[in-house]
Amino acid sequence: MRSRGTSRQAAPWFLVIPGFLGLALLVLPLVGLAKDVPWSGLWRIWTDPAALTALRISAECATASMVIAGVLGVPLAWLLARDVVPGTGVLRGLVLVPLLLPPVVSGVALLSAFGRYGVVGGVLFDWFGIQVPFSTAAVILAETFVAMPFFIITAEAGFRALNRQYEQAAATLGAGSWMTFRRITIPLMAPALIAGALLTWARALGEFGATITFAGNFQGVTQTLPLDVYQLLESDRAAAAGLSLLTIAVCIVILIVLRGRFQRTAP
Amino acid sequence: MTIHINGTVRHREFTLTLDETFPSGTTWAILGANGAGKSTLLRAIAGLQPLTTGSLSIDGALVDHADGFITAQRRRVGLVFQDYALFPHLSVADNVSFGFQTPRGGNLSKGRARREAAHLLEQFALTELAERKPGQLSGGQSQRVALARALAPRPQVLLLDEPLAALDVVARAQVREDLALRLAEFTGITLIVTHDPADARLATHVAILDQGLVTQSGTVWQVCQQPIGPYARALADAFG
Repeated sequence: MRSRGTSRQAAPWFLVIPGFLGLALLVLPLVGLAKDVPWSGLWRIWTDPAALTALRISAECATASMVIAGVLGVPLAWLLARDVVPGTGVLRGLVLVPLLLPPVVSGVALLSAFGRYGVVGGVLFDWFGIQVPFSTAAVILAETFVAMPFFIITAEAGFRALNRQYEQAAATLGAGSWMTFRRITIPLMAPALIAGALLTWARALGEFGATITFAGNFQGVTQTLPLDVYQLLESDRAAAAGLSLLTIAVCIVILIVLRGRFQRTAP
Repeated sequence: MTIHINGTVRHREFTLTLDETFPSGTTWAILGANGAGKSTLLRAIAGLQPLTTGSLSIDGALVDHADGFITAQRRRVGLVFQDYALFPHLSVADNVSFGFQTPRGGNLSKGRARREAAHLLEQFALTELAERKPGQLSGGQSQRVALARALAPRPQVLLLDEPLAALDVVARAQVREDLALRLAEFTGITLIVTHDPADARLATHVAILDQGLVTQSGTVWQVCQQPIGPYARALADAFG
């Protein structure tokens, strides 16, 4: 006889078994990593000068990407959400492309555009003598290319969910579009914008494929945390595991912060 | 100062056809069933919905016609939304001072706008609620804040969209009394959209809308004398 008094739905076996298999697939690698981490030497690994430099470059570049994604992404998300330009569907598709591209391909595409002989890169080099690839700027560019779609999607959903009455009320009070945008739209959008910014930052922080292709792996210039982990893997697996743990810790912090954000109901 | 509207507003399948003049100093109850076009009329006058054909003039100025459209921002028209649309992230005081900081409201600095708002809040007996957020207000309080906010930029025309519909029956009669006092002090033209004939108490004039057409309009007394259609009869009953 079944016990009564629980409101939990009975779980059929054909959902429970594959469900837990899926969970195992996601969690087992982390368990394996935890086993490889040299817990006693963790502090030494995290404070290694090369690791610290990589961490600094990672944080700086991810933050720069987040800022660029915000400054350019808010207007773009607005254009997409309000359907003000013809062909919005096509534009939205274009915005999503970097999400689906293999990151290496993104790197190759960035090289084609901003490389020494690229469409934009050629002009930059010939006119200003600027070379983008294999610089810190290239890291930021690669991370922005890969991570900005996360911001745009989140912000667009936020703009769509926004009750237009607040903006209309501001207009009937005599506010112009800039005042309305700054004092009404953006504050009401804050939860969506913060969530989008954090997702973007996290994705930028973890960027590997486009970065190594377009920016290379130069310690102190373009070597971010994931690139350092990759390099350590060839010489010191335990150190690679220890450093990986650091990125996981960052992910968990972001998850916790985002959880609070998503639980707040949007106005 | 009058409002004259002669034209149509098409919204999907629905067409509102109007040829009305709202003279200076009058307060109108726009009566009709849901979907009769009452809110569309308000939105057209406020500048949130352009006319499809025809023209609209406020105080002698063409604000909507074939080759010109003055946006809501630049019309001296205040609108109290049906669910008030108070800015949820701003306090009561900041909601009201917003209207003083716009070009139409005098472009006041934040400090001066807050002082003006404090003055207005006092008149509306809202001083104690000044630092509350809209989420912490009752329906009647929200309505009073929304009215104060709409009046801040000194509109010539005041539009109220179902001002009492969001309130429960007990609060409604009391808020209606309160609203009548506030509206008596407003010297411009007032249009109150409502589906409740009892709200015509707030008005000097009434226009009855049915499926996009004005079936009857005039003073409350005139309409009650020879009511046409169910809404006019309900009005006559309410005032009989």
